[in-house]
Amino acid sequence: MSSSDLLKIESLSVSFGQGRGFGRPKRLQAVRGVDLSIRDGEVLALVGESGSGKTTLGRALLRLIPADSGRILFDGTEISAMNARSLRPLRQEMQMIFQDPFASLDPRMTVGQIVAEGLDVHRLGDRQSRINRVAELLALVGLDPSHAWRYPHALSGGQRQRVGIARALAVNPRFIVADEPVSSLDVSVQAQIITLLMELKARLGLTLLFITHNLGVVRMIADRVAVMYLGRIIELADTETLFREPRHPYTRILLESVPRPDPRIRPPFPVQTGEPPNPSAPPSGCGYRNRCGHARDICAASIPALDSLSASHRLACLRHDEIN
Amino acid sequence: MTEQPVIEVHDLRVSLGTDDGNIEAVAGISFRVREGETLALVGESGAGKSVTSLAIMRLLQAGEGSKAVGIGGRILFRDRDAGTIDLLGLQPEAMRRMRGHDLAMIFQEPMTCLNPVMCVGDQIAEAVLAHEKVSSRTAMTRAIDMLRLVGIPDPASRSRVFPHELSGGMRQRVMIAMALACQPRLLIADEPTTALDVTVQAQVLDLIRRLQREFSMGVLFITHDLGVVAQIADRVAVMYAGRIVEEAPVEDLFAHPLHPYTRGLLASVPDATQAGNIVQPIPGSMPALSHLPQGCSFQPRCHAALAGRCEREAPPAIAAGCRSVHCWLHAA
Repeated sequence: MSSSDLLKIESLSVSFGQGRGFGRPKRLQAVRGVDLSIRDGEVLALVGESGSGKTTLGRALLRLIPADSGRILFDGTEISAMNARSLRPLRQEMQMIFQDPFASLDPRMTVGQIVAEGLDVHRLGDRQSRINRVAELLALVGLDPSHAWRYPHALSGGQRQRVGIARALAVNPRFIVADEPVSSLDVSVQAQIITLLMELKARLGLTLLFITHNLGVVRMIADRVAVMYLGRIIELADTETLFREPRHPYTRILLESVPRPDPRIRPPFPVQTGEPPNPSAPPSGCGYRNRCGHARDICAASIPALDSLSASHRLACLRHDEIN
Repeated sequence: MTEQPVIEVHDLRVSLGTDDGNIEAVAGISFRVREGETLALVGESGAGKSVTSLAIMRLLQAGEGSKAVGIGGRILFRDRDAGTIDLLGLQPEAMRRMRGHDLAMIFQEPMTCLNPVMCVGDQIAEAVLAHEKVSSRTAMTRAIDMLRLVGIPDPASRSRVFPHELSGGMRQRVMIAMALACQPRLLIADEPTTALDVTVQAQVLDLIRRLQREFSMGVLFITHDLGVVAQIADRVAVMYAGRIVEEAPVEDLFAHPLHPYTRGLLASVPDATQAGNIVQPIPGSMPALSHLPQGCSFQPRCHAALAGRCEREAPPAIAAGCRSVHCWLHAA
């Protein structure tokens, strides 16, 4: 483990039980043996389509859901085997911002109570200092102190997401998993929240795992990007490297599919063959092979490893030498 | 200009009764969509985009949170035999005959309009049988042809599956097949790709573009995604708080946005194709329609608002060539 890695996961696998009906119970493998390091102070974007396992990975590495196997190290300490009690002090260091600010805030608690809950749980400060801290946090995320007395239903979507951010920041975390934090917001509000997150990141020295499918946001804020497909990371690179020289056939079609906000350039829409994958019945070998125009027999036979192409670029494709 | 307008909307007003009192969800908007043309209606939630589309389809009903509905203005639809009909003056039965035949609509969530207990071929055939005097065998042949046209592999056997057996993108295709089965003159697409993954979105946009050309339909495309607008629209109308604040050909709008709100929207979208992109958010959020500010609705968020002007009087429509803008900054 390099000294600059804040979080490191090794061959992490997560599965879910599925199909409680008749017949043999099935397991859905959402995350399949993922290795990933997140460097201290970076923004790592995790991109991929629905069902690729990005949310599951984000939740499993915070130990919000159990993993089947693999190790998670936070700042050098293995947290994958810790029990709930010993994990509690570390929970303060790792927080999450959720996608849906309408579902992730308790409607029966005031904004002040929501933001202060983490302080209560971790017994940080006394009553008066918690009240002051809540006011400070609300100011930090651009809300008025009077918002502390309101309930979530009285706030707009953007304001709710600010509350979600204040709640995550309350316990002074070092690491935050932001799971699609702007996807449910309107365009103009999205820009406000992204700008706020980046300001806070710089000011507080945060490390962020930013889960999203919005590639414009990725290019703007991420230092590195990991592309997931069917539970595996298939390409990992510095942001500009990935956008300029995507190597995996899937990454390429993903980038080409983003509609350009420029009507003068209208390339034909890229044609992706095949159906989106079904995570409960993945193909053998490379998960992408039955949609890939470059697939050969070898792709069905073995699972491509995430190999290093250069110091800043890793790729899981058996045929990359022939393709490029 | 040879293309005839398929639909002309004049001073459309829709008021809804809500718990907060009556609100004007659409406050006098006018636009037209020509044959073979795509007009994108852009705006954020609550701008009135969907209410506009439902008003055109005459699908706004009293009830369900909206206590009273008042619709004013004119919605002129040019018929196949070149007669012009005001949709707002039609009897419900006459309107029912036009829906699905002359005007069709597709939605963000296909399961809201697909019947979960009916196989997809029967659903499309039913749409055909509702409007045309054909045998059920002919209708089913048409249904299978439509499934093929929208790119569903092995359409004959897929026509017998139920919606839940299909992926999200395939359901979207089935919904498009059903909407287009009678070759409507106007297709209203209300955020049809918002719930889809980006690679699937590209396929569905490609499909809509191709079918539009084939049928020379007018398309009213409702979206909040400016990337999609740039790729699919011929003209764009930007809505804010129930009004169209700017309308222009798509190249002009992106190259020279006139309204401060349009500029702010364009500056809010991070471009995945540009390195070092930044966004400049618009401060604040759209006002509730029940508490609209005096004068221009955008004025409290506008960095260029003219003191003594914008907060007093609603801005006039200023037309220049083939575009228009509602803003005091552009008044002579």
